[in-house]
Amino acid sequence: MSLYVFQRSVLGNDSVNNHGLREYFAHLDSVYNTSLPKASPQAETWWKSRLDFYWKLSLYNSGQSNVNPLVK
Amino acid sequence: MTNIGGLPMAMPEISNLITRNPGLFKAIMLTSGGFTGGLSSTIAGGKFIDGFRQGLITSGLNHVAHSFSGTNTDEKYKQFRKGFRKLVRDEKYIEAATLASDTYSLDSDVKGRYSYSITKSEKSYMTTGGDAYENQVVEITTGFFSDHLGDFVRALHHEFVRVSA
Repeated sequence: MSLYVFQRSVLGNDSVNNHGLREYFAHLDSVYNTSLPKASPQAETWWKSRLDFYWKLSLYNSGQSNVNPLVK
Repeated sequence: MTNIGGLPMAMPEISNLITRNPGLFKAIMLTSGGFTGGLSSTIAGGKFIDGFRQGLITSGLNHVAHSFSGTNTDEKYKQFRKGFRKLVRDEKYIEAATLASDTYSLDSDVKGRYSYSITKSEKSYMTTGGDAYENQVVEITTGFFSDHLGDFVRALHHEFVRVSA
């Protein structure tokens, strides 16, 4: 059990329409899930570093932002 | 009925779940904090998801700061590590991945919807591919099996999120 259960209940199967939001929760889960073995500091830092990107992507996917983080 | 993080909850059922799975209780604390943030945002006229995110992060940091640092010191982990490492030594990679999935219930939402593909490489990575609504292939390099075990389990869990997409 983990945040993953919660993200499923929130997102359902709508992830095709909002890839960013699912990845955001997946990364959040990878960092904060206390039911799984502890990650290495490097991996944890990596997942944390991607959170902002996927949050922006979720806003873009959902039409709440015109800024596409994939375009530099 | 009682109130956790602003959400009414039936405590007898929750108590049983908590007894069986302390990790779930932490998740409930984290997520109910998120809900409260979202509801506060809606009441204040903002977007629910903005408030939700802030609430989730705030409650997440608070509870994680007080949580145990991981689950890699318990007997379950030690038994898993022993079995996993032996399977890897025998180059039974799919069996090793299955052991990780079964031990931590990683694929409970995606059973029967994926298969493994093992790629011989010293690099550590996993990818998931496949057409929508079709079987998804989770590719794992052999190098990842000898890498950090916590990273492996969490990365596999992460790939199953993609399978469910």
